[in-house]
Amino acid sequence: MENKCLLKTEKLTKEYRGRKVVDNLNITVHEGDIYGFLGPNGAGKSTTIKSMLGLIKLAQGRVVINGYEISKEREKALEKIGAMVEAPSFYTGMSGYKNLCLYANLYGLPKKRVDEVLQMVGMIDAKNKTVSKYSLGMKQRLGIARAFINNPSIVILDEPTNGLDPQGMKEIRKLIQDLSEKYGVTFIISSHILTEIQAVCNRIGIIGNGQLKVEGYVEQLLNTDEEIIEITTKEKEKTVRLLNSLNIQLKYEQFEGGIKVRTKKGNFQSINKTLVNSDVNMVNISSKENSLEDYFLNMTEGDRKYA
Amino acid sequence: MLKVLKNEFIKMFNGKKFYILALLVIISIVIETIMGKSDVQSHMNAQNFFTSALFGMAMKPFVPMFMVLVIAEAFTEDYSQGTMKFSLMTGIKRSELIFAKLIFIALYAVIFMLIVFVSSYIVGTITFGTGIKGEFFNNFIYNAKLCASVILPLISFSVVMSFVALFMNNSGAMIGFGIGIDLIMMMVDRIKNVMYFTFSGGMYSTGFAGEFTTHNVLMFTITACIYIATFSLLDLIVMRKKDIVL
Repeated sequence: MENKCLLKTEKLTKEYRGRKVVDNLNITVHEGDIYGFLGPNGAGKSTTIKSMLGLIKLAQGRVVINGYEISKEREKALEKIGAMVEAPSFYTGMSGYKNLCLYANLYGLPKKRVDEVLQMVGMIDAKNKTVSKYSLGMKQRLGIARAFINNPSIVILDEPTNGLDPQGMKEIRKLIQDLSEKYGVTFIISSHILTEIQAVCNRIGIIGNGQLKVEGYVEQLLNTDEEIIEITTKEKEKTVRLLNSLNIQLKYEQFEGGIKVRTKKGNFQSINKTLVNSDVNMVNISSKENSLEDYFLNMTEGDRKYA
Repeated sequence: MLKVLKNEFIKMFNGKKFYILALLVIISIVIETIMGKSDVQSHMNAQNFFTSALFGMAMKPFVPMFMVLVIAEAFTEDYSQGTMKFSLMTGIKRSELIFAKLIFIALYAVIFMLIVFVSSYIVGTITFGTGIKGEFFNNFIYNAKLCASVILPLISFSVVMSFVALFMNNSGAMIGFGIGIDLIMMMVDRIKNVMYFTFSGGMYSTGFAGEFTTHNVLMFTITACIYIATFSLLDLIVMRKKDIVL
C-alpha cells in the first residue's frame, strides 16, 4: 500500500520569455519517501523547487503540499516544509546561531529550537563562529539545520552536496539518512551526483527539458534482475558474432574500447566461457548491476543541447 | 510584519555598517566645527551651528548617501545573496516583508537624523558655547522642527531608492546609481521652486534655513507624503509580481 501523498504538482508550467522551462510537470511525493529529483543542467529542477515553495509565479498548474494549495493557502502549505534552495546563503557577518535565530523569530519559535537543530546537524560547537569563517560543508550543514527549524514533515534539499569534497558528500549523505530514520521526515533531494541519489533515495523523478521523463521506485526502475557486462576488446566484430550465436536474450552496444552487454543476471559465466573458448583477445571482462547513472543517461540522452 | 522588522534591527545592530556610518556622520560634524572655528566672522554657537551642520555636511552629502548604502543592503543584497527567499519560505507575506523593510528604512533615517541633531548640539556646545541663554530653548525647538522637516523628504528619497533597488541584482550598481541620483537631485533642486515638487527637495532646503515658514514646511511635507505613498504602493506591486529566482 502506498503512503499518503504529501506533495504533488499538477500540470506545473513556467515560462520565461515565451520558453517553457517547466512543462506540464506532474510529480507525487509520498510520506516517508526520500525522493531524488534528477535532471541535467537547465532541465528545470530549481525552477520546479522554487515553484513548490511559492517563490515564482506559475503560468499554469498547481502545487499541493499537505493538502493545501500553495497559490491559495501559502501560509498553511509552507507551515510544515523546510528547504535549502541552491547555495546555502546566510548573513555572513553574523554567527550561525544568530542566523538561525532570525528564522526562529519568523516562525515564532523559541531560541531553544535553534540549539536543537544545531545539535541535530553536529554544529553546536561552531555556533558562535561567524558564517564567513565556515567551510562550505559547515554552511551546507547549517542550511540543513535551517531547513529543520520549523519541525517540517517535508524537507527539500536542492543540490545539498554541491561543491563538497568526497568526505563532505559522504557526511551529508549520512546526515540525510540519519535524519530521515530518526525523525521520519520526507525528503526531496535534487542532485547531479547520481551515485549519491542511488545510495540515499527510494523514489526518483527524472526531468528533461522541463518535462517529467520518468517517476518511480528506484528498485523497480533499475530492474535489479539485469546486469551489464563490459567486454574490453579490439575484436568487436568477432565478439558480436559470438554473442549473437548464444541462445540467450541480450542487448549490446559498442563503446570505444569494446562492447557493453545488457542481459539477465546469471549469463555472465556462459558469455565468458564462450569468448574464452573462441580465443577472443580480451583485455578485461566485468559484470555490474544496472546503475542509476546508466538509467539516467539512457533517459536523458538527447536533452543535452545548450542554447 | 513586526517579526521582519525585529530581524532587520537585529541585522543592523549585529553588523558593523551602522556603527561605521554613525561614526562618519559624527566625524563630518566635527570637521564642520573645525571649519566654523577657523572662520572668525561666523559667530557660531550651538544653536546656529546645528543649521550649518545639517545643511553643510549631514544632508549634503552624507546622510542621503548612507541611506543608499542601507537600502542596497536591505533590498538588493538581501535578494542577490539569496537570503530573501529563505525569509519568504517561512510563510511571511511579500507585503509584510516589503512594508517591514520600508518601515526599517524610515526608522534608520530617523536614527541618522537624531545622531546628527544630538551630536551637532554636543559638539557645538563644547566648541562654541550655548549662545544667548534666554533664546536657547526657543532655538532648540526651532532646530528640532527643522530637523524633523528634513526627515520626511529623506524618507521620500529613501522609498524612491528602495523602488529602484527592487530592480537591481547588484548592490554595487545600486549604490552607484543611488549616489548618482542623489548628486543629480542636489543640482536639480537648486532650480527655483522645483524643490517643492521633487522627492528629494526638502532634504536640500538650505535656502529656507533662515525663513522656515509653515508654507515651506507644509509644501515639502505634502510632496514627500505623496511620493512615500505612491512608491510604497509601487514597491508592493513590484514585489508581488517578482519571481524570487536568486
